[in-house]
Amino acid sequence: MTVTKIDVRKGAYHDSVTLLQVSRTVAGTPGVSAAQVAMATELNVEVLTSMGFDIPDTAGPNDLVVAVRGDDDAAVAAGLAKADAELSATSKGSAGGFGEAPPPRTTGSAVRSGSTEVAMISVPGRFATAEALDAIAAGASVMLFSDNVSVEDEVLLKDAAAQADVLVMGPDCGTAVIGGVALGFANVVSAGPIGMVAASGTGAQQIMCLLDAAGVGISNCLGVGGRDLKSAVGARSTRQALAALAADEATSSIVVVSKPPDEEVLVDLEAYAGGLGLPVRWATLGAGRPDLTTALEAVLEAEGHAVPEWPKWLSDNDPEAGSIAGSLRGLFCGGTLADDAMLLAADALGDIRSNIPLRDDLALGPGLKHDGHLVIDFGDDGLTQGRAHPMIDPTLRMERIAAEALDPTCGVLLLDLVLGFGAHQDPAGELAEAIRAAKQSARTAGRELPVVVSLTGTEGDPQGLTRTAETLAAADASVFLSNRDATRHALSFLGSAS
Amino acid sequence: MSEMTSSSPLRGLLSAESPAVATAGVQLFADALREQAVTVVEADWQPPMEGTEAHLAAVMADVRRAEANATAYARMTAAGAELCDVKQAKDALGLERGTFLHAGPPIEWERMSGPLKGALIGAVLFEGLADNAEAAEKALAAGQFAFEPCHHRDAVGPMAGVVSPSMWMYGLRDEVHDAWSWCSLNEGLGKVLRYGAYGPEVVDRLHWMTDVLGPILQQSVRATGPFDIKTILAQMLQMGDEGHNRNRAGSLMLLRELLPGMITADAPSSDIAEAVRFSGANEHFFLNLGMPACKLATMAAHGVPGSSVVTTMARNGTDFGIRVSGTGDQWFTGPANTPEGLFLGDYGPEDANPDIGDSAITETGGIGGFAMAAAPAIVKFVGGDVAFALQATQRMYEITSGEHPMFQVPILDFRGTPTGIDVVSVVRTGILPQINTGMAGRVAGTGQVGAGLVTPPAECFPAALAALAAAVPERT
Amino acid sequence: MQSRIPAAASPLARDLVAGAHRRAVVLAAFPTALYLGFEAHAEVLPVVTSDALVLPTALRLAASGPFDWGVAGGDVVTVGGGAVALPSRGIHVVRSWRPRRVATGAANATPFDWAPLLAEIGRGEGLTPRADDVLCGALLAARARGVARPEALPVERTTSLSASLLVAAHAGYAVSSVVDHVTHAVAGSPEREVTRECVLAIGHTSGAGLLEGIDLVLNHVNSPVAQGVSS
Repeated sequence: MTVTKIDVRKGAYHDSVTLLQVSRTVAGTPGVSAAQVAMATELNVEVLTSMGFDIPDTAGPNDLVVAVRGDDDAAVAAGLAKADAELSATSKGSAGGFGEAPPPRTTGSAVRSGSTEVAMISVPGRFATAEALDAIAAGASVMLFSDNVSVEDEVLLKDAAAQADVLVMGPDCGTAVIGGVALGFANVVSAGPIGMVAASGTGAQQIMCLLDAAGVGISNCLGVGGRDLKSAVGARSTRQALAALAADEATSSIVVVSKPPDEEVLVDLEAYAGGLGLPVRWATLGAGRPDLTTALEAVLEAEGHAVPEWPKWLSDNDPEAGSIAGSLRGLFCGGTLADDAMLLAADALGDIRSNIPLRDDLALGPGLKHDGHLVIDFGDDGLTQGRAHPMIDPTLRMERIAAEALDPTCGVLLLDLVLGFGAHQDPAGELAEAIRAAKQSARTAGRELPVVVSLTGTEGDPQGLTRTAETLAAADASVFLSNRDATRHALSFLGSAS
Repeated sequence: MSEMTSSSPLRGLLSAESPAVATAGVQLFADALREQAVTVVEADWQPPMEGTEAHLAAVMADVRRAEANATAYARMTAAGAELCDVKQAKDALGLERGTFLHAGPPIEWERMSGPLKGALIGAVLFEGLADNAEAAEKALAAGQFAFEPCHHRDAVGPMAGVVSPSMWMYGLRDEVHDAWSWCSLNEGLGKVLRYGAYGPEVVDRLHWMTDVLGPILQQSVRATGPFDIKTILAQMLQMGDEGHNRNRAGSLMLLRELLPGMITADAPSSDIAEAVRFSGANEHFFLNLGMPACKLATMAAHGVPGSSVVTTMARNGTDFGIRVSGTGDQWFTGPANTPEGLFLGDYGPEDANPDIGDSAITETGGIGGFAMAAAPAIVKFVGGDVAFALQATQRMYEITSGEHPMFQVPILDFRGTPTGIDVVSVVRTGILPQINTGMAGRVAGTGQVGAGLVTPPAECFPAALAALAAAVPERT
Repeated sequence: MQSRIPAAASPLARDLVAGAHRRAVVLAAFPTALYLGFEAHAEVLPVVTSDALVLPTALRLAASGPFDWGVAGGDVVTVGGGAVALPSRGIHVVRSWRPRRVATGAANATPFDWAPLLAEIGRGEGLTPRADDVLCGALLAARARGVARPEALPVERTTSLSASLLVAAHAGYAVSSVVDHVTHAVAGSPEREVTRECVLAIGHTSGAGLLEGIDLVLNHVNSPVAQGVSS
């Protein structure tokens, strides 16, 4: 007498080789004459039927059938037990633990162990060249956040990268977005057809946030480092980035964002871009050239998009236009935003002292003090040695805000705040508190101190654009998404601006 | 249209499905990426050895280096090693009477450690150049004899590594690169010359090895050889040996090869029996074949301009020295460390001499401490636990150029052993090569006191890096 | 262990995850992959760790496996609103990834008889029956060579997972290494030998099945007889 047992198991997937092996093992059990373990697809049911197994109609293609025929109950039970044992043995993954490999110790080793496309290097600058060379040799493109890397090393790295057909983004590169992945400081923006090349971190963030506000997404944003458009570097990375974006299916036009470039580099680059077969547009700062917002508005128009009214949150208690006697005090974390503001303000105010001056004779001394108009970039190399970037650690700027509040020559405070990945998790509360305190101490001294914030961010950012802006506005700051509009608003308070 | 993806710029960076990112430095960035569901490999980055950044940048930017290291690694792993002959040192190396070879980098008598001095005294006595130990020591101190590193004659010697003209040497040949290397015969354990012992029983044994063992081995090799030593190395790693401090399987396999020729040698049967017994009783019998095999491999890798691969690590009991493929015959030395591990009998750490011997050639060639994971039983002998053995091998991948195609570690899924130490990687990571070693007694004549683990002194590597940096051609 | 796990979604499965909350059945839970099935037969959402085979419809996690999903085959979970709610933790979509797609080749008049392949759908054991792998490979190669493909596939005859992969392949989507190989094989570039090995390494027999299907179509199209005698 033979015994047949058919077990239908719902939702029990196994790969085909496993099932083949299980079928064989079960069939080899003493006393078992036939066995088949398979998913109950139509054709497998046919096979099972031809073997004499009667499969119930309820069995569907996602169900596992264990069919065993044997000499007696005991043999069939043994066969089923064997099937269970084999199936459960295969469902345990090979675990790590004892004998696990130690973590990689160098950038190249990390790149190789994960076959990563990108290496993000943020080691202290003097060690950065070695790590970047290592990553390039391992075949990864490099996002080099480290600053204090010499221009000679930058050229060396970029030549090595071109040779290896990878890209060096940096040094001192804060922002990149590749295929929707934000590297470093970047905002959450939607995917779209605009490709960006950025020789500027916060400049790139300002542009992508304005695009986002206009409802236009980006494909990629490739950083190249703030010096790439200087003669010494000769746009080495920018050319590579432009070529890559030109070949990218998702990109239909390109915007190049840059701190003030060297003229001859820009001329060559424009010629190069002309041969790429897609529109390349420029948001390159400099005297006589449009500010970031205006340049971006031209891009939108050229792309056939309407220019929206840029979001702003005005304070109800701002003093009247032209009513303030003191000077402009711009305290920035973003170097390009500072440049952008200075270029705009210089048109209205004339000379502006700075630690990143427009002209050498306008440089601030070591104490960064001056009675006149001044703009300070707290993210500059000189102020970040041995401490984190002010977008992560705002201490220095907070101290300066308090000091300006007590300075009778300070007429208006212009601040930037950049949201997004990498930035402070909740910067608004702290900054709002500092703004309140500043206004209060100015008031105690008999002054009215308007505060304007240039807020770079999107609704999708972890910190939230509106939420942040409202927190700041509640502290009586006027808040603008456009750095141009923020700067103009700040200028409007000053007597000299009218 | 069809050729589009293959020529995608930047290695397809912009068409990657979901770019994965390696990070080094600020952890915040790795966290921000993980929040975006990006696969992140975080390097456990630490600053390189002090004061090396400029040299690192220069050497890593050397356009020759990648190819030079690939060449050195390829030669190292391609080198063959066949036992082809057994000869006396005077014939094999042209070693002149009154000249003695020793382990490690060059050293003068005054700075020699106890075991090396003891071994030289023993060798002088063995060669009949002095009547007693005092006379031998006086003559050695008086500069009557010449000393030279084994490595300068393409030879290697374990522990003190002392070789005199009458001693018999195994001759191994690398057919691929047409090279020979040589190593003395192993004397067994306990009170032996290589551990600095020079008593009558030591000298008597050397005479017996010269008169009886050497000729029998020579007949065996010449009659039934050559024997492929590289293959034995590959096999013994799969049998629980690491080829430096554990040679049990290798010794048995070697004996299996040699026995037929030994038994049929033209010698009295009592001599043959003693030669076979002596060889079979020594579980480190194979070490003296594994070392010259690794010497052939590292010699093949030597002399590639621009290569930062280490081709020699050797110690004389006072100094640890390394040589590098791209810096010629220059030694980079530092004071030898004292091994840490387990001691025989009543001996303790205070009895141990600093690191000594050419046997670190095994690690240089990708076995020994580098293959510790293949020999978990070694931890009973050198200290540590099995997890440590697995870690040790895996850590060495960080400082090596490649994975040996023939020497494989079963427990690491037959991954090749880490091979071809790169000076640049050592300097960058601060990870020092892991060496398994025997420990000699500090006092001349003591012999072996234990076995353990040791690393080179760190300063050898920045010194070698500086020399590599100085040799980088000007960029054009 | 964090309870909120970020994930990247394929645009092919975006609607499944982002839409209204729905019940899904755990079809299988492996150390590196979780397969969730919905009412419609070919609707399957794979959730995979970084070291798993990334199917074109998958929700990708950043970390490598093994992963303790906390569910077993047959369990019911909720999917929707940009998340997969597992009993112990939530998997949240934070961005999209870009599945590779075979480019459509210029139209090719060579007819290809799909009937024999379609008849085999569902034959073979396991996750993706081998006959389905062959069909997937053939569909991808046909797209690349501009060969007409069947309008509809009788996917109800195979497992849900395999059905979802057939639908993806019909639209040109596949595992990255398969797209690479089809591209190289069609171009006749020397890299095709390397990419072939990569495909062969997929699953246990899936790679071989895919290659069989790719070769079937390419050999058919390339054979002089099939192309006819030019006048």
